[in-house]
Order: sequence, then structure tokens, then C-alpha cells
Amino acid sequence: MGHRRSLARCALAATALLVSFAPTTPSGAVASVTLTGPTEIALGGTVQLVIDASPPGGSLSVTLEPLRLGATGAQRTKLAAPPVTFRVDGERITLTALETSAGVGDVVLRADYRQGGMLARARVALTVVEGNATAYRPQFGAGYAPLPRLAVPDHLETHATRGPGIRVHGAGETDPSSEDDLIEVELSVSHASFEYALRRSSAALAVWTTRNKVPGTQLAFTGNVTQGFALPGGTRTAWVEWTGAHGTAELSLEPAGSATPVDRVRFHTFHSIVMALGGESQVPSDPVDPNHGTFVVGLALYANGYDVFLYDEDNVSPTGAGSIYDEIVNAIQHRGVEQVVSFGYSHGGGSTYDLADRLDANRGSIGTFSIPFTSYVDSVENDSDTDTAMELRYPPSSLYHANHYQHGSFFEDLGLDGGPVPGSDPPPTGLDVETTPWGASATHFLVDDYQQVTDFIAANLDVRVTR
Amino acid sequence: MSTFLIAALATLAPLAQDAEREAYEPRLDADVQRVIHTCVHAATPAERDATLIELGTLARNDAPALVTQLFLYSEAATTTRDGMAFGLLREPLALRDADLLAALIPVFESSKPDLRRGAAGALSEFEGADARTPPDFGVYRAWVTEGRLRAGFARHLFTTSPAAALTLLESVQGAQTESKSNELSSARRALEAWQDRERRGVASSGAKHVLLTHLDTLRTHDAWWARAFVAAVLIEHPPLSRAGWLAKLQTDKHRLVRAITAP
Repeated sequence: MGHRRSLARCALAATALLVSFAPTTPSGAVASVTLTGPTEIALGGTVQLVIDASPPGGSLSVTLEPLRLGATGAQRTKLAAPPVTFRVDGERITLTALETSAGVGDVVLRADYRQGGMLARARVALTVVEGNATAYRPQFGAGYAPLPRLAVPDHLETHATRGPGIRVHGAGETDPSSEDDLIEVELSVSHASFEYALRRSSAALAVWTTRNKVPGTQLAFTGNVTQGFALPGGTRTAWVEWTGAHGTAELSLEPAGSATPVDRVRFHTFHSIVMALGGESQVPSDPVDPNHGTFVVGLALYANGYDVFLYDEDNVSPTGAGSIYDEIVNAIQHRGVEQVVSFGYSHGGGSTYDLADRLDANRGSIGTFSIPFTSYVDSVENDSDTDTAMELRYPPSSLYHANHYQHGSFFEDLGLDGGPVPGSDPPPTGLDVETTPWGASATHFLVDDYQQVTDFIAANLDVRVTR
Repeated sequence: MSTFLIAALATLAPLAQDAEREAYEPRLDADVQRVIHTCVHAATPAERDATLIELGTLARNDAPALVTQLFLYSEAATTTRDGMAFGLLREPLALRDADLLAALIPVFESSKPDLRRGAAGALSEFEGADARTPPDFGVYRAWVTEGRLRAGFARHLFTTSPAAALTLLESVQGAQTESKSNELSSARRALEAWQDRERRGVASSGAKHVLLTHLDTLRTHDAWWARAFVAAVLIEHPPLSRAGWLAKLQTDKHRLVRAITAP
């Protein structure tokens, strides 16, 4: 992610540069002011100002300049404005960095007896610390391929639906695609000299330092905050897992000992799973082939926050069985997925039918789910790799079905065509794109790539499917 | 040795010999591949027609050989146009189902998993299975009857559908006695009943017990294909396996049973 400058992501660092002592006052009292604790503090962090005065019982005031630090004395609440007056009884004052604008500044601390002059001064240098927590879209198998490693845009990282989605890791999860339910979060800060911690808003979030959950690499939370940890070189990768029921939760990066976040991301659990099935011999790839319209749509939906899987349609057998079906059943039974989406081109359309048919036939043993969206583009039955029959059947139990097709010619595409499917959108049977100005010259091998087609699929899916 | 047993062994002998043959690896014919490519990517209708005539001549001379080339062409495809070429040219070239079977069944003996998967993908339409209908291997009856069943194809049959494979082999080999036939039918019905209940989410310990009883009986059956049926069921449904059952079948005396249970 790019360098952050927004105030919400700034942290204040304070470095004690000088501690000076004035051992006597005009009245003969003795006092000193000492900064203790960390030599640097970040936004929300604290440093203690210890005042020793003799004889006890005198009155002492403390001035904080400029007004960027709060002060908390014994039995006092946090104050943002000086001066703060104390009875001197071996007083300790805790300074809390509240906020600062970007840049570097100084704070001068003075402790004075009312009747006397300055006793001591400590100069603290303030530095802006910048940091970021960048969440990525879901993994697939041992990495991201055939999808790209795609960061959630900064402006969406706390968005309730388009922000970071995460798969529920439920009991009995079989991980058919290996341990890929963890979401990668890259932590980065401008000042590696601090220790940082992660704060979660729900115990459903578990955090690991390894993507495969190597034993001993889970971060322990106490009161939903981890212990402080270093970010050597200013960066570290965390892997976030959702172990509870459906919901949303935030994960914040903050300086250790502080409750003020440097950055935060908001996770929402996936309620749906989206299967994009290419045509015969179309294999999903990264970068996506622009001539593989189904995968172009799938990638756009993935970037928009859906849990999308790009597949070669050969992963669906004529009975609907195969790795895609297994992935869906696992998602319904162990990840709390309630909505199943499938769309495909050519044989991928035929496989969409086969998949929906098997899901519907086995509904009783699978669990509760709906199929809110399916789509064909020039769909061809997929009873075998040599099947060239039009797929004209409506996917069983689909609540909405989009259909695009063309009629071509033998010379153009050897007569390979989809066709009308009753009950489809656009009504009543879908759209023969050759009846439109933009699709008049369509062939089977072009029809999946029209932007009008891919946009139609994405837009109609988006209004019908919960992420 | 009884006359009956001698007859049974004589029937099985060709199968065993077939299984010992070395692997079959289909070879690309560069000249034919060029003609197919030109046909699929023809720049003009005339070029399409000319290449179709040329391929048609090849089909009349040796249709299975042309099917093999079409199969290999589409298997190597990276575009939908090329990937669909096999299916698209089948009708214009008047290729018969028997030509496809003759060309593709031997591919199951290939050492290349992609080709074996491709053969399964091309032949699936002859098996007639969908989400609600089990496969029927009747189309392969002549092939098996002629003693051409080899290890790779046997593995395909039994792993695709143990019940359909059992039906096919029983129809070819015969169950020898009525009681054995009833035994096989009961086992098949028990599997289907159990699978149906599992599919509908109404699992029954009774149905499972009946199936396990049949599997226990058939795992030591005289006919290798009955034992192969048990092996395939256990591989497809590992929780059904009992201690030692699968291990015993992995060292079965019949090579085809061992082939089916091989990792």
C-alpha cells in the first residue's frame, strides 16, 4: 500500500532529549523532574513524569507545551490543557500522547513552585509515526493463483461489505483446497523502534504469524490485545482466521500499551461462494486472459469483495461431482455459506447446470443453502468433452438466471451455439446478442468477451448476492 | 479341479493376459494435426470444405486413427475453438460411436494422467450418468466380452461406478450360480440404498449394516470383479472400510483388483 499521511494513521513519538535539574528553589525547597519509562512514545502511548520535591506538601504546576500531550496525575483524570496543579507528595504524572498533526515538534515540560521559578525542564521531541494494516482478498489453495494477490483498497478496509471478507473456519472444516481460509494482513510502520500490538473487537478473530498455522505461531490475546511485538524492518505479516459464528470484527494495529490505533481493518464473514467456470480449454490464469470473459467477470467480483473461485469446467463431471462440488458442500457445511453462485461460458454453462442439478438433488444431505444467481453465456451441454448440444435447461433451483447466446454460422464457429433458456433474464429466454448493434457479429468464440455481457452478469449478481 | 472351475479359469485367462500388456501411448501424427488445424482455423469456406474432404478420406480409411488425432488435438488445446474441435468435427466427418470407443478406451492404459482424464471426459457421454441417474456401462459390453479389458480401463470402470462395473462384469462373465447372482444383486442394491439415503441426508445404521455384511461376503468372492467391487466401494467411501479389508485387497491375487486398489 502507498505511504499514508492521514491523521488517523499518524502516531506521535516522543523522545526524551534532556532532563535537567534545579536542586534548590528560592524558598529553599528541593525538587526534581525526571522522565521515566520509554524514551519514545507513540500516539496513545505514555511516559511518566516523576516529581520529587522536598519538603513535601508544597504546590507544583506543570506546563505542557504545545498542547499535544495530556497529563494524568494521581487521582486525576486525563487532562488535555495545562497548567495542571498538584500537591507535591512524591507526585507522579503520566503523560499521554494524544494526537499531533504530521511533522516534527517539541514539547517543553516545566515544573514550577508557585512562588518560585522553573525547577526543571525536560525536552521531548515529537515524531510522527505512520503505519498501515493492509488486508488482502482471500487465498486459494497454497497461495492466490489463479487469482492475483489483491490488497483491499485503503478506502474500503473498514467497509462493512466491500472490505476484507473472511471465510468462517468452522468445526469439521476439511480445507479441500488446503489451509487457505486465513486472510493475509501486512503490517507496516515507519518507526520499527516501537513495539506494537494488535487489538481485536471480537474473540472470533485469531491471528497467526504463519499462513499454515504452524504450532506455536498463534498470537495470544489478553483482554483482546496481544502482547507487544517488534516489526523488524518496519513490517510483519499476520494471518487472520475467523473461528466464530458469522459477524464482523475489527483488528487494529497500535503501539504496545496504547489504545489508539495506527490503522484498523474490519472483517466480514462470507455468506456466499461464487464459482466462475470457463469454456472448454479455458484455464484460469494470472494475469487473466482478456479473452476469457468468465474469468474477467470473476476477477472483477473478487476485487469487489466476493469469495470467487475461478475453475476449469472439467472440474465438474456430468454428474455434477468433482472438486468444485466438494468445495461448495464444505463451504455450506463448515463455513456457514448460505448462498451458492455459479456462472459459465460454453461447456462452463453446461457445468453450471450439472452443478446446480447435483446440489439440488443432494440438498437433503448438504444443508441449508440457496442459489440466488446463475448465468450462461452461449451455454453448451457438458455430458462429455465432445458434447456440442445447446444447454437449454434452466439450472435447477436457481432463483435468478441470466442468459446470453449467439447463433453464428458453420463457417464462423463450426455451428457451436447456445440458445434460449425459458425463465432467463433478459426475459423471456435471455438475449441473442446478435440481435443487438454491439453483438451483431458475435460468434461462439467472441460472445463471452463483450463488456455488455460481462457487465450484465456482474451487475445482476451484485444486487442479488450477499458477500 | 472341477470342470466348472477349469471353464471359469479359461474365461478369465484372456483378461489376465490383456492386463500384462505394456502401456499404450497414443502418438501425434504431425501431418494430420496440420490438416485438423487448418480445418478448424480455415480462412475461407473453401478451405474449410477442402480440409473436411481430406479428413473425411482419413476417416474412411481408419476412423479410430483419426479419432485419436482429433482427441490429441483437443487435449493439447489452449483455446475453446481448438478444445471443441473434436466434438465439432465428429458429425461432419460422420464418426461413429464405435470409432470413438475403439480409439479412446485404450487411452486408459496411457501413463499420462491427463490423457486418461481426457479419455474419461470424452467417453462420459456414453455412460449416461447425471446427478440423478447412475452410469450404465452397457456400451462397453462388447469390448469386455471380446476379452479386451485391461488394467487402466478396469480401474476407470470401477472407480467411476462400482455398481455399474459390477453389473457389466456380471453380465459378461456370469455369476456362475443363481445364488451367487442373487448375492451380487443384493450387494448392488444394498450399496444403492445406502448411497441414496446418504444423498438424501437420512443416513440409516441399518442400511449401512446391510451393506457392510454384503461387502464382507464379497471381499472373498471367487470372481475378481466382485472383489474389485468391494475395493472400489471402500476407496470411494473410506469410513466403510474395516481393519485389513482394503490392505488385503491391495495384495489380491488378481492383477486387476490390485490395479484398482493401487494408489
